[in-house]
Amino acid sequence: MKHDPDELVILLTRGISQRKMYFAEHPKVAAISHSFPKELVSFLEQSGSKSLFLGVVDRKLVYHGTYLIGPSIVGSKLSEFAEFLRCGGFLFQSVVHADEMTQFFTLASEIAEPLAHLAEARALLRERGIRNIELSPVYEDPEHFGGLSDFAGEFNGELADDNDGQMAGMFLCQNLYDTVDTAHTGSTMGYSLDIDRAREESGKLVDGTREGFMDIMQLVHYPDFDTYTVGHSVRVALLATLVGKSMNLNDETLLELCMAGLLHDVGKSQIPDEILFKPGRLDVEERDIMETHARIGAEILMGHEKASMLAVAGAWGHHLRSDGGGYPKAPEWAGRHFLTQLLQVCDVFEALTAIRPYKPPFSPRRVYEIMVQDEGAFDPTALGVFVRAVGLYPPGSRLVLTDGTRGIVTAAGNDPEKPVVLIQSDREGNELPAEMHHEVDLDAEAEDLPAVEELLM
Amino acid sequence: MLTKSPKSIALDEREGGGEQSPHARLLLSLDRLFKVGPYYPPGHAATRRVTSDFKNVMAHLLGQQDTLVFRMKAGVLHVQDEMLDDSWPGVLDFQTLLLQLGVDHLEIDGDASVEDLLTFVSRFLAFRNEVAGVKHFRHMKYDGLPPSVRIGEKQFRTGIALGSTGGEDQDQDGTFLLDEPEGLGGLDEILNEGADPGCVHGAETINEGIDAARESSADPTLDDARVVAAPPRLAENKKPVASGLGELIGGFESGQEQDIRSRALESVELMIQKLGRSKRSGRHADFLGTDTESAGERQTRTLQKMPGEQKDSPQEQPEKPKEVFLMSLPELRDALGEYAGKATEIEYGNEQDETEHLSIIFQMLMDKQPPDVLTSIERKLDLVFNRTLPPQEREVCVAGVQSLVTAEDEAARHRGLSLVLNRFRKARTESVIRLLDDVCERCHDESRNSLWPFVVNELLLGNDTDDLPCFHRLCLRAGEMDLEVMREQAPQLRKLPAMKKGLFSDDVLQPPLVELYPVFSVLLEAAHPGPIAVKLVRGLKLDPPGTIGESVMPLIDTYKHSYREFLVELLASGHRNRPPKSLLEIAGRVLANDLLALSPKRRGEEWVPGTIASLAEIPVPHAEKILKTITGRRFLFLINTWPKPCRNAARDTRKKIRLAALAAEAAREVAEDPDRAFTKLKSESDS
Repeated sequence: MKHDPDELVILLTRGISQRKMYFAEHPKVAAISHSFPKELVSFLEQSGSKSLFLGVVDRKLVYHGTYLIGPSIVGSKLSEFAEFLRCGGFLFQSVVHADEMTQFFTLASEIAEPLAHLAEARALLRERGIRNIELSPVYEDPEHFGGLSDFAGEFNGELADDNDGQMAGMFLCQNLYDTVDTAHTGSTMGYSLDIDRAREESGKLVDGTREGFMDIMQLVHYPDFDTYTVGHSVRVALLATLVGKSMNLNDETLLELCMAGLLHDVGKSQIPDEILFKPGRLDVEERDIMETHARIGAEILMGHEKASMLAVAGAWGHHLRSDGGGYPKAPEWAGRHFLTQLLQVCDVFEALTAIRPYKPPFSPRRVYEIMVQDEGAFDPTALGVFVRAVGLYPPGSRLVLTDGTRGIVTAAGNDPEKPVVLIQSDREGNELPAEMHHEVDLDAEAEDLPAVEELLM
Repeated sequence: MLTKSPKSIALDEREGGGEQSPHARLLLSLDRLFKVGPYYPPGHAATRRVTSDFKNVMAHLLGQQDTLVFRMKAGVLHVQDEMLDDSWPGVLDFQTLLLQLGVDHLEIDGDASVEDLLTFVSRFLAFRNEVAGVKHFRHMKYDGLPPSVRIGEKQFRTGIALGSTGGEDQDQDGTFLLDEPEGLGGLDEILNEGADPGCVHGAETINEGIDAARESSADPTLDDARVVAAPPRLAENKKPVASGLGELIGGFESGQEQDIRSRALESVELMIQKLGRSKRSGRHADFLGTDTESAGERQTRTLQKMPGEQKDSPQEQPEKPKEVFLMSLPELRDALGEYAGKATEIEYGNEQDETEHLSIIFQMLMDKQPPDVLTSIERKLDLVFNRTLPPQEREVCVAGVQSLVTAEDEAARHRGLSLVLNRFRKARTESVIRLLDDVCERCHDESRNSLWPFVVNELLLGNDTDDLPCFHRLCLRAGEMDLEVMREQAPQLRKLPAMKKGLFSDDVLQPPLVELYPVFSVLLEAAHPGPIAVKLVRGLKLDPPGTIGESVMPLIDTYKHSYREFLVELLASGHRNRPPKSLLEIAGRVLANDLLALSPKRRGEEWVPGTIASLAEIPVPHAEKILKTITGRRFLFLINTWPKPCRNAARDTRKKIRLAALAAEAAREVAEDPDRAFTKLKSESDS
């Protein structure tokens, strides 16, 4: 029985992020330093292991011989740290204690360039008093911890093949997450935004999705509970790019739109975590504070000479309703740009379809119900364009068809109910080999075409 | 937002008749009672009024009934079984209070006395204070209530269907305030320490349910939290856990050790809380004004498996509750089709549309902004203004400037308007004068006052005079302003480029535009009017206003502080046909001081005889003496120091003055004694 160390990876990443922002004794850092050992012990008890080994291979996290794609996307800081330490992974002993974790986070936040070799890194850890976190040699080294007897039978020294397309997508997502995370963290610290990086990553996304959005849309649905504003921003950027492409926007506008999606919530970096991550309803004062994030975000972006006006407008207007409601309160004479209204649609759609600590994910169908019933909330044309591009089953959605086959949506069809599906398993539920995967356009004029039976969320 | 049941009474429905429903009035009067009651003594007029109002409304509502019953049903407040609309005044507050206190129902006797009602209110507020900030579950004691007011505490209901996807779950959202007790240790304690049989049976049943869930999941490591988060599987147990809960609670009621009971209750609450947690509606749902709970959706927090990671076997995947949809698929298809149809009706170019960007910039400028933001705004405006603005963008500019003028923060207003108008002017693609004219056209008086410095600044800079009618219209607007307002706003004007850097257009100052005389007058009032004074003197000499101006201005060679009073007065009244007395007096003083001081070289200038002649019109002190000097002064007793035309003019003027004096004297005598004056005149004439 395997157990996924997702939560532990999130804790490690968050610990590094928080330590970058706060001093070592800060309650936020201390909270993570204390909770990691507890969570680790609980995890190890459940998994029946004595220690947790997280391998790092080519910036991907590996656990028990399997790539952890989701955690790798949000855990780029951890893999980058491993690269700097010239190591192939981290072995966390069950007895690791909070002080060691604080030192671990401190080191990760301080180290700015790769060390010369692993021995130096190990010495550094010892120097910092970190005894219960061991550094593994790199994957190709025979001494790599992945081959230790502890994992005999579970790890045969060979990593499972990865799908090249998915891996490329993973790196793209990793960079997008990191771009947004860095932007948010930097804003909290008062640093200038790295707009060039956001532009570069947006360019990669626009280029990388020329073949379609299926792979990348699957990847970005990793539920990053602790940093969900980051994942949300990436997903909004993706949706906006998807819709923008369907509108045949030129590359420059598409790039601006993507950047606007990535950075639209940067104002949340200035909202206290206690409000931002409050699980229940916000009271009036908290809501007032929360609502300032739109204006703050726009001002942060406006202060940056390289930020486009679309990015500023995206941050400013993504909570503005088409009928003039929402926030920041708009005067009657204020104009609205179509692309900002499109971002608003993407923002709401993503927020409702995503998992949040305080809500379950809704299906696109339910979300559309909510959206169409809320008259005046959305620009009809923007919503229409969105519906045409995304449909009831967004690219990357996993479906069961009425004939029992299963597949992944590669593109929306002309009819929102009839997407194009890449069939991946047969009627008996057996997975088909990659060469037998085939696309079915459910909207094609052919007889006996199956319909969608169920959306797998 | 509450979903209205058919039985619910909405205020708006009743308001059709122009009168509030008794239920709404009851809650309003109760709200007042809570707000006033505790703060005044029982006999006070305010308390009398609110209590009697409440009693009246209550009596009206009760009719033949004896007791008023407030009841919480599914988290919603009901009175006499009528569901209340939480948009009514007081409903939400009272509902929240009951939820906070864990009150299931509240009964108030129709004959409750004023004192009882006030006691009830103060006790309830005390209860609320008691639970405020409580982090751990504890049993509340609702003591001190009068007999006429009774409350029923919330009970754990035995009929909770754990597997239900229905929307009703009233035990949520802080009804019980707990921190996060991990696991279900409290149940084990009951079993270990030996308690009431009913209670033990209940706890056993729950634990059996959990074990069964563990077994059925084929996952021995399934923890308690995950078990309680998997309602469908629990619901499949033959022996319903819910009934076990009922027995457990029955045991509590029969009496238990307090600490065991508390811990057990924590365990039960944990389960209920976990179930309830999945039911909270999201913030975006709030934003959309949509009640996501009404759909009865519940989903546990499950991590989605990523491709490439280990996949759950079908047996491992928990059965997910079905989503409930409010629209049929064809209905949704139609609705979406309508939207998608709209999307095909227009073409999406990549054309530049800056209306929103301009709107945002204007809104940002309403507040104080850091320098980097202002610099960035300047750059962005330069890009926008670098082309001819489409009408809609120009419209936003006009409205934006108009809006900026009303900004409360004076510093922000000044900075914002300066910034926008500077960029607009520098772009030279649009007329800033026309923009300001349009803004003035729409502004109220007060806004026009605030805009005045910016208008004058642009007029002084004057590099935008292509549209002359518009330019003159704006000059008139600027000059028509009340002088006091101008004086108030002048300090702002001095901070703007024209006055600050002395950038004055010859179009405006050479000669000064008559429409702007009052403006110039105010500007000269300053102790140090600066370069504009020199420019004004030069301009006024080119085209002196009125006879006074014609007489005196040639005498003024350059600006001196001593001329300020005269120039101010001249500009304030210079365009009038009849100069005021005050101006005449000041002009007289200037002539008295400066005429004789004219250099011999200048005395030959053409204007001098005319100015000398003006002494007949202007009350110059010691005019006779001045004129006599002009006519009689000689150099070395031989050479006249004043040219002949000047002497002639002086001689004529002396005559005029003398005659005028005689005429004045005669007029005075006539006025005093007409007969005597006539006799005198006759005798003089005869002689």
